[in-house]
Amino acid sequence: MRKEDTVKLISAEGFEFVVDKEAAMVSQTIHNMLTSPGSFAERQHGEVTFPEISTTILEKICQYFYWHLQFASSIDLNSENLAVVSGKETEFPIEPELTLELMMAANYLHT
Amino acid sequence: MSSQKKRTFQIEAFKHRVVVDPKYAEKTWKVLEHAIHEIYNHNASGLSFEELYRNAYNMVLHKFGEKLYSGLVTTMTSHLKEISQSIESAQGEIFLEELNRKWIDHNKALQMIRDILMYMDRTFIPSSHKTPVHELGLNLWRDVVIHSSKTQARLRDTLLELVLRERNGEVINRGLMRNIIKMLMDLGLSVYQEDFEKHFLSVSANFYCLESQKFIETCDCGDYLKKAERRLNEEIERVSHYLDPRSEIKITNVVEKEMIDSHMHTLVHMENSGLVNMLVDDKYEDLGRMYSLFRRVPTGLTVVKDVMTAFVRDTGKQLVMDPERLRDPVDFVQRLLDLKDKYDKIINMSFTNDKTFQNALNSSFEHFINLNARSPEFISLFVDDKLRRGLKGVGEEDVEIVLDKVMMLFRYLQEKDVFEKYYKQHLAKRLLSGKTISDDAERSLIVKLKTECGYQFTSKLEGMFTDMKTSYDTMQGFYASQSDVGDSPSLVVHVLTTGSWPTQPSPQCNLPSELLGVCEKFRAYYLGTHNGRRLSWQTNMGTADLKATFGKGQKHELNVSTYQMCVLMLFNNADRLTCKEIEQATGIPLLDLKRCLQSLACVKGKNVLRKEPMSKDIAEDDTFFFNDKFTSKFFKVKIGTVVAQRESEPENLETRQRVEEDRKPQIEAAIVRIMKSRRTLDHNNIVAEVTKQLQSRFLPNPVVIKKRIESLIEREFLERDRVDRKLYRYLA
Amino acid sequence: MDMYIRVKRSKTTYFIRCKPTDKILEIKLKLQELVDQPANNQRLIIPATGEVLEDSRTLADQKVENDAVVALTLRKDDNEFEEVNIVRPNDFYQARDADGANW
Repeated sequence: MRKEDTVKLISAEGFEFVVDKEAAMVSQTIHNMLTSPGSFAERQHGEVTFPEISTTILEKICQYFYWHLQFASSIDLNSENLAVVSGKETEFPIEPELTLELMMAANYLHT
Repeated sequence: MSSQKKRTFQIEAFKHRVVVDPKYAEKTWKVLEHAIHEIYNHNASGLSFEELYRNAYNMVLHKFGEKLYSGLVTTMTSHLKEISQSIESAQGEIFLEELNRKWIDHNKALQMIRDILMYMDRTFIPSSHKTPVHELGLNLWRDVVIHSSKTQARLRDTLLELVLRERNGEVINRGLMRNIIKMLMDLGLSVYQEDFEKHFLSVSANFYCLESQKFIETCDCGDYLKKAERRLNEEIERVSHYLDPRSEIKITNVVEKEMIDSHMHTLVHMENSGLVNMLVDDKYEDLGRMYSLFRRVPTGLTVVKDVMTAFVRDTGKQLVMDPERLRDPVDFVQRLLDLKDKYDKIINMSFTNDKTFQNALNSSFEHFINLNARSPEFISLFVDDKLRRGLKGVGEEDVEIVLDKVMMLFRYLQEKDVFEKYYKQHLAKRLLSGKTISDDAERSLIVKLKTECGYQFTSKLEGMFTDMKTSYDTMQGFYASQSDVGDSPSLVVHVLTTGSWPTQPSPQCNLPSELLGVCEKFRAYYLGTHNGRRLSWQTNMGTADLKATFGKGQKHELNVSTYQMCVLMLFNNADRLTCKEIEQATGIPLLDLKRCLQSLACVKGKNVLRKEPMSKDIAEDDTFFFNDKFTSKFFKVKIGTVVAQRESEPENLETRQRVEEDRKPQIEAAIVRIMKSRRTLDHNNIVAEVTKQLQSRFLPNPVVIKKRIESLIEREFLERDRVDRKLYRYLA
Repeated sequence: MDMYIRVKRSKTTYFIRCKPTDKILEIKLKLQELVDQPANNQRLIIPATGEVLEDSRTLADQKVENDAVVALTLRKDDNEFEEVNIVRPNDFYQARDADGANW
C-alpha cells in the first residue's frame, strides 16, 4: 500500500489509525479536509488529529468506515436505521455503552 | 449522515470539555475570523482544518450560530470591499484580468470557508432560513464587486467593446472573455441577462441594422448573402466560444431580423443580381445560400418560392405560346424538358430538394403546358421522333430516362385522352410502316402509361401489338399453304382488329389487277381459318415497293404508299393520263389523290412523273407522264412516306371533334355511375363528381356535362325533381 | 472489498484491506511502505494465542477473519524480533451523563 493512499487519524490520547483514504472519506468532514482547495495542514501531512474523540470511539469509527465500504454504501449510521443496521449478517456491532458517544462522533464527522 | 433526513429526535452534541467561558464565543470567533483572513491572504497552509471545523461546530452547538453567520458576512464583505477597490483601480486592459484573478481567488476562498463552516451549513442555516455559505459568497460578490457603482457600467462597456472589436476583425482574449461571462452566469441567469445579454442584444441590433443598410447599398445580392451568412456564422461561433448557449437563438434572431427579414424583398428583386438572375444563370451556390438564410425567417421561403413560381410560369408560358416554337414539335418538347431539368437541378442542388419547391415547380408546369391545346399532340410527336430514330445508339438506360421524362410531362397534361388519341395514331403509323426502332422501348412506354392511367388506357395500344404479332404468324401460315406463288407480287398483310386501331372508314380504291389475285388468295385463306370474320382492305394505310426501269435502262426500287402504287401501275399501260382519268381508274378520294400526285410529280429528286403544266398545284385536268429522264443516285427511292407530322389546322380541328365525340360516352358513363350509387344529386355536385372521376383523363367542360345530363334525361336514365329543378333522380 | 484486518503495534493500528486467499507475505508487502520496514523484518502474530503467522500460508488457512486483530513486531537492531506490544487505551468511562440518554 502506498502512503499517499492512506490517512492517519489520531485520537485524543494520541493513538494512531492508518486507514485508506477511500474508507476515511466515508466521513463527509474528513472528505472535505482532504479535498478542500488551498492546503490545510491535514492535507499536507496526511494526518488528522481529533482532540475530542477517544481512541475506542475512533477505532470503532474506522471499523465502521470499512464496514460501510463492505456492505452499506447507502446506510446512514446516525439515523433511525441504526436499528435496522443491527439486523442480520451485515450487522455492524455496537456495544451499548459506546452508542451515545459514537453517535456524537458520527454527527461531528458527518458520517 | 445525510442531513436531508428529518430526524424526530435531537442528538446530544459531541462532548466538549470546555467549561462555558463568558468570552468563549468571542475567542472562538476570533480564531475563525483570523483563519478567514489567512485564507483570503493565501496563508491557509498553516491552518488545521480539524481545529477550525471543530470551533465552528462548537459555536453552532453552543447556540452562537447567529454570531458565526453575521461574523462571516461582515468579514467577507470587508474583504470583498478591498478586492473591489483593487479591481476598480486596475487601469485599461488589466481591468478584466484583475477581475478574473480576484474572482478565481474568491471562489477558492469561498470553497474553503464553506468546508470549514460545513456544520453551520448543515444545521444552523436551514433551521434559521439563511442563505447557505456558497450562495452567500456569490451574492456578496455580485453586490459588493460587480454592482459597485464604479464597476457595473464599466464591466458591461468593456465586454461590449471587446465584442465590437472582434466584429471589426481584431483578435481578443477569448479565454478571459469566457471566464468573465461564466462568472456572470455563475452569479445567476438574471445577472448574465441584465448585466450583459440584454445590452449585447440591443447593441448588436443597432450594429447589424447599420451594417445591413450599408451592404444593401453597395453589394449585389450574391455578395450581400455571403456577408450575411458570414456574420451569422460568426455570431454562432462567438456564442460557442464564450457566451451562454441559450444566447445563440437570441443573437441569431437579431441577425436574421436585421440582415434578412428587413431586406428580404429588396434582395430577391435586386436589379441584375436578384433571384431571377440567379435562376437564369444557374447560380447554385448563391441560390443555396439564399435558401438556407431565408429559411431562417418566417416568410422567407414563401417569398423565394413565389418569385420562382411566377418566373417559371412566365418563362413556360412564353415558350408554349411562341408561334415560332409551334413549327417544330420535337424542339418544343425538348425545350420543355430542358426547362424542367434546369429547375430540377436548382431544387436539388440549392433548395435541398424541398418538397414545397418541387410542388410549386410541378404546378407551374401543369399550368403552362395546358395553356397550349397542342401540347398533348406535340408530346406524342416527340415520343414518335425518339422511337423512330432518336434512340439509335443510345443505351437502354438512357432510353428509360427519356421515356421517364416524357411521362413526367404527360402527368402534367389535363387532356390525357387527347394524348392517347395522337399516341395511337402515331404508334399505328410506326407499326405499320415498320419504322419503330425498339420494340422494348415501345413496350416500356406502354407499361409506364398503364401504371399511370390504368389498364383501360392502354388496352387498345396493347391490342395493336398483339395484331402485329398475330399478323406475322398469319403470313407465315399463308405462304406455307400456298404451293404455287409463281411470280405474283409478294403480299404482306396486317390484320387490324377493328376498334384497336385508329382506322377511319375510307372508300376502298381499285387495286391493280396484278395484285388482285394474291389478295383474293389471302382473303380465302384467312376466312377459311377464321370463321365469321369480315376483312376489308385499308388501302389508305399500306405501302409498296416497286421495281421500275427508266429511259436509259437504269433501275430503281421505289418505296411508295399503296395509293401511289395504284397510280404508278396505271402508267404500265398508258403514256399520259389526266388527274381526272386517274381518279376514275383508281377510285382514290380526290384530296388524297392530289396529295399523292404532288409527291410523285412535284418533289425534286423524286419526280418519277412529269406534269403539265409544271405548277405546284394539281388541277383536275392536269396531265401526267411517266418521267423517262428520272435519275437518282440512290437505288432505293423513298417517295412521300407516311411520316407523322404535326397536323394542319383543319386536321387538328377534326381530331378535336373526334376527341369531343369520344368524351361524350365517357361523361355519360360517369354520370350514370355516380347517379346509380347516389340516387339523387343536385347539378353542381354531379359536375364536381364527374370532374373528379374523369380528371385522370381529361378536364370535362361543365357545359358538355350539362348537355349529357339533358340527353340522359331525354333517354329516361334520369329525371328532374318536381319541386327542386336542380335536383336529379336516377331512374333504374 | 472482501475483508480487512487491523494490524497493531504499540499505539498504532493499520487497517489493511485483503482477501481470505491472500498469503501472509502479501500482507507484509502491503505493510512495507506504511511501517517503513521490508517484509522480512516484519512478523505477524495472533495476539490471543501468540501464534506466528507463516508467510507462505493464507489468511483463511490460519483462521484470520474479517476485522481480526493481528500484532506486528519488527526486527530489532540485534536482529531479534521485539515482543508483542499492543497498547490498550484507557479512555472509555462508563459514567454517562443522565441527560445524555434522553433519546
